[in-house]
Amino acid sequence: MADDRHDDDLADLVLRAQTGDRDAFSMAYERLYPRVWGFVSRRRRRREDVEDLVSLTFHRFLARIGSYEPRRGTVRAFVLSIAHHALIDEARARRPHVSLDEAGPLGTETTMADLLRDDELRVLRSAIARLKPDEQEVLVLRYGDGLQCNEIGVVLGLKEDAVKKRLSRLLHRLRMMIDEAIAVEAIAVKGVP
Amino acid sequence: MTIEEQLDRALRDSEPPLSIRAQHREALRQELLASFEGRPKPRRPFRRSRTVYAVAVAVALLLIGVSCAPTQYPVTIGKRIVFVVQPGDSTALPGPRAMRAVVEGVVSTAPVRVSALVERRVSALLDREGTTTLYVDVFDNGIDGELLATRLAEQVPGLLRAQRNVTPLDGRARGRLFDRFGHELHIVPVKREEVQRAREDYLSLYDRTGRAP
Repeated sequence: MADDRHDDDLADLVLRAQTGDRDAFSMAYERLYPRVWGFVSRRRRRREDVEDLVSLTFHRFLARIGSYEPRRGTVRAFVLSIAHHALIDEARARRPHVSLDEAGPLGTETTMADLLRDDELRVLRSAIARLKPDEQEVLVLRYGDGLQCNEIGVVLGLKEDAVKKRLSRLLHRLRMMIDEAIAVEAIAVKGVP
Repeated sequence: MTIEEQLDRALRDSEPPLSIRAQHREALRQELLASFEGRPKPRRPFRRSRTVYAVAVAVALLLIGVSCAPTQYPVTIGKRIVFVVQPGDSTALPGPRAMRAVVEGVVSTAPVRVSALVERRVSALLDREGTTTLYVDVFDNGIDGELLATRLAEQVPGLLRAQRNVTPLDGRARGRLFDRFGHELHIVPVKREEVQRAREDYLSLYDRTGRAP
């Protein structure tokens, strides 16, 4: 509910910025910056890369601010969609001779393992590492970036129902993988051959 | 701890402290505000208000309503062949009943489509100077009036030198304003049954008065 109010306020600021209101743009930037920083830093480790990508995202946001329409989704989804594409473009630029399929998941080489430092979450980390890159991305968008399914849909260009189904299947698989891993560990501890 | 809670805990917190990114945040703000100032003033996108849509819908409904209003409009139901016979020739003319028989004979033998002839009426009017005007009205579905006039003139000696004129006979079709516009703009043909009804109205008037309306 608080998020909804927050999004409404943000949409209002962006609509005012569309008409040339400098202060509204400044306030919208202030509110969006932590979101964008968090989004990018979950996917890139080097601080310089994060700063560059955050800057690129906001410059693109400013260039496209006139095209934002509240009925198409939240401002948060609009901006994170821009950040998502900035990450893709950066990955392409870094590896110009490797196809996107070969390029691997966004952020897997960087922060996914770092995110799962807690020892209690070791089993979960292991399970997530076995998921496909696009499946990991959906989980990070939902639980890392805190996006709603409709917002994930905007960022990934999917329908909300498709995101819901994908998430539901992923959680089911993760539960099964964790149960299986715990059972294997229990057998190993008891020393059953 | 549910799996959602574990994921939330595992993936949520990875942001560096505010102090680390404050410098970048402020520098980027200045850059963006400079760009914001420098960009061309945005034009407010044109949005139609609800009032405009409401007026458009009302006008559309009004037009639909008006186009459904009943009306009458002229339709061609046949042809009128008028012979103006000079005084000297009028003695050779048969009477209206005999003339009707001649017309029927002509249309049954002439190369006109007899099936196209729906009804026929013949009337004669004698004026004070002795000029006789003969009206032959044929109610048809598209026969050639000129050809019929020529055949009649050949069959009746008194008509050979008569001045003749062929004009369409107009009746009143009943329908909606939409049908009228369609007919007048040659977009929608008049329904056959409407033409027949107009013809019957015309003939009924004809029979009541005994002469062409």
